[in-house]
Amino acid sequence: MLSANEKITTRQFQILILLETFGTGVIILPRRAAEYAAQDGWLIVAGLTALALLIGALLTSAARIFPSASFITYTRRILTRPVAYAAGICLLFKLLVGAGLELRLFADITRQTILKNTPMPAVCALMLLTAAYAAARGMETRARVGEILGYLVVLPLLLFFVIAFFDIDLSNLQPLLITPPGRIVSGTLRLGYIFTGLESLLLVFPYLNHTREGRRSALRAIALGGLLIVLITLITIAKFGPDDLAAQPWPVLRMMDMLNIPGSFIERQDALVFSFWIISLFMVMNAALFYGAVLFKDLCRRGRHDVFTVISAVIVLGLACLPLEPAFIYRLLDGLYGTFGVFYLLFFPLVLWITARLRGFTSGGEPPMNDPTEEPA
Amino acid sequence: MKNHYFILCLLLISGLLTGCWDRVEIENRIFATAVAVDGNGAGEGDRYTLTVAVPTSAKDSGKDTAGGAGIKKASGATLTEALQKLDAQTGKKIYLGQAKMIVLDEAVCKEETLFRGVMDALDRHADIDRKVLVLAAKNGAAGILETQPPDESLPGLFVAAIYRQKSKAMGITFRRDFEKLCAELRATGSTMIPVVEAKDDTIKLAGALAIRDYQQAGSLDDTETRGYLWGQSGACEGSVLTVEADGVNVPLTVEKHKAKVSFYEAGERLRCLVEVRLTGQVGEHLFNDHFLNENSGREALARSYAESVADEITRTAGKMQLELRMDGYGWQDTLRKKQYTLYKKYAPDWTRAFSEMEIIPRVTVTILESESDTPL
Repeated sequence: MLSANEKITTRQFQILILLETFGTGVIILPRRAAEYAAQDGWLIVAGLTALALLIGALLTSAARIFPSASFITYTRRILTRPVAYAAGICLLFKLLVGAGLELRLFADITRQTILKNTPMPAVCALMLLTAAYAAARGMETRARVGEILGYLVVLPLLLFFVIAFFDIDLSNLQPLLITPPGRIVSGTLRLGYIFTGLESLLLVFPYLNHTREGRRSALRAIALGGLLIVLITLITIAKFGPDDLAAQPWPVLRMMDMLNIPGSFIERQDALVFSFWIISLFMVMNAALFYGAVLFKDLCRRGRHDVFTVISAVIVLGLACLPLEPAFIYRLLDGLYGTFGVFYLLFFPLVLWITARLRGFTSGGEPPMNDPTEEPA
Repeated sequence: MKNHYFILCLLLISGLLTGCWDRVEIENRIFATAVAVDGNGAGEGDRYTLTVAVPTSAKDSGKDTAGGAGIKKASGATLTEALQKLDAQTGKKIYLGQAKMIVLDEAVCKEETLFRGVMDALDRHADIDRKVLVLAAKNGAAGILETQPPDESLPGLFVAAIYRQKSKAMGITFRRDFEKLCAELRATGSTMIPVVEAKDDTIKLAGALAIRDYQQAGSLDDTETRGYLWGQSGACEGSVLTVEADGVNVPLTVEKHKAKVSFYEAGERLRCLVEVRLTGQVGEHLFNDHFLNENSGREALARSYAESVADEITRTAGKMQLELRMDGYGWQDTLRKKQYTLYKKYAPDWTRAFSEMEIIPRVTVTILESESDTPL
């Protein structure tokens, strides 16, 4: 490593948010949005971006009260020790179970589209091996890997979408704005789970070089990611039309495969979007393992980060290899995001922030005089 | 040092993972360049005959081909079964991802169960390229693959080359790729498929097959197909339109073709206005005749072209409305996009609305001046 201060820059932080939060959205959102609002589906994605910005603002407001303290520490100081430990255990559960189920879905889809004969545990194990290695090496390694992968994948992907723009039928976006607003709102709320990775904002502040810029840079990254997904959704709807789009399991992959790129020698152009998803999932996995290990260590108050990373990886692999049907996994994920996800994205940061305000904690971690919860050094 | 061993172990393990299970060595793979599906009726026994054209080496070509294209055939009760038999025959894995053309026999298109069976099998086949051209053949699909067109021994590549050079296909035929075909069938159960035929040792593209409710409803001949194409912007650029003026055949090479379709209501009946604007150059007239040097002559000629195009549009539309009873133009979708209020009113009984709709062509032709037309 060039340095070992375990701190990341603002740009690295933004790239991590983009890769961890929006990768799955790129693949899934256009179809799901079209199911709710047909050609107006992009409005749902725009609504989701606005929602993600609100959630991002809320999460960063809560996390920057004690910017250099860990999740368990600042929750303990604001909401008492038992609540902090209970919240930590539940967040650990949500992170690892969510990662296990998402990994399983990823393995199923990979086997359907690319690696038909490869055993599912092999796909999961390969992903976890690499993700666990990055997570075990620490935050700085994750950020540097994200930085390299981000540029390697996002730039060609954007180029492909620019090319795709010339091969679309904009009339497929007509008639404009005929979906009832209630349906747009309902679709936005139901698809809100797409941004479930945002709760990592509660844990990331101690690793930022410039914590003061954390909130602004997080919101900028969310806005940029949202804008990109709105554009991708618009292009995908314009390419296929709402009816055909809703009938396709992976329309963005198919759109990439159908592009006429002059001089292209790539047999499977969809692999480019797929590679973005693989990298995004790699970042999601290593984030889950990294934050899982951090929470484990904080909860146990002893032990080594890399050991806890391996323990987290074993748990995630075990969950991913459970003999479950995909439909049941989707139900489990919906349940997990509808309960734990909403709790950590909305209610928990709100309670933290309000309690901190009531108790006189201000942004920047200045505790009130004679703070009774402050432990002696 | 311990770390290095660990990384080395990880690298060795990763070599055993993922793709190795799915590998097919290149020498064990046959690349099909075209696929043909013939129907043997929807009864008992083998319903489909699957034919693929594969490039062969000079050594192989002595056995089953006379110039680079090998033909492999197998029959089965289902397309999947036929494909499996084909694989078993060759001892190699047939890869359909490089196929440039899928030809469906008219017999397949006539039977709903056969047609839907083929479409579903192809849709489920992961290797099929969604951009592959789909065509229909009137006298057997396998015959198209057995034809050896001039300068190109592989019929799939020959047809793909025709579509690549737009001037060769414009105004004669149209492109229907597998993705578009699936999309249209999913939306309405109807579509148009361009026809390909083997004639005089070459392959000819002309005409179209109309599919309504997943089976053949009829077909369009060459002129009717052009009547169908006038309503689609750019579809006839490069085509040659000939009219007779003063006993002389005068061809117009269309350089620009714009079409716009709009709808309005008259009484309780829907009207469709097809506005076509053509710009082109006269290819020949009579040497040293100054007919085209005069504005009146050019205007008269432009009117003749416009009337001819309007007549072709009306004839094809009439056939669609009364004989085929299907909206092959996809105007229901156009109505949805452009006039949603009218769409909501007429969509529930679109077949009747379409067949009773008054179609009004409005064609404007602009003849570009060439050097020979400069006034003296």
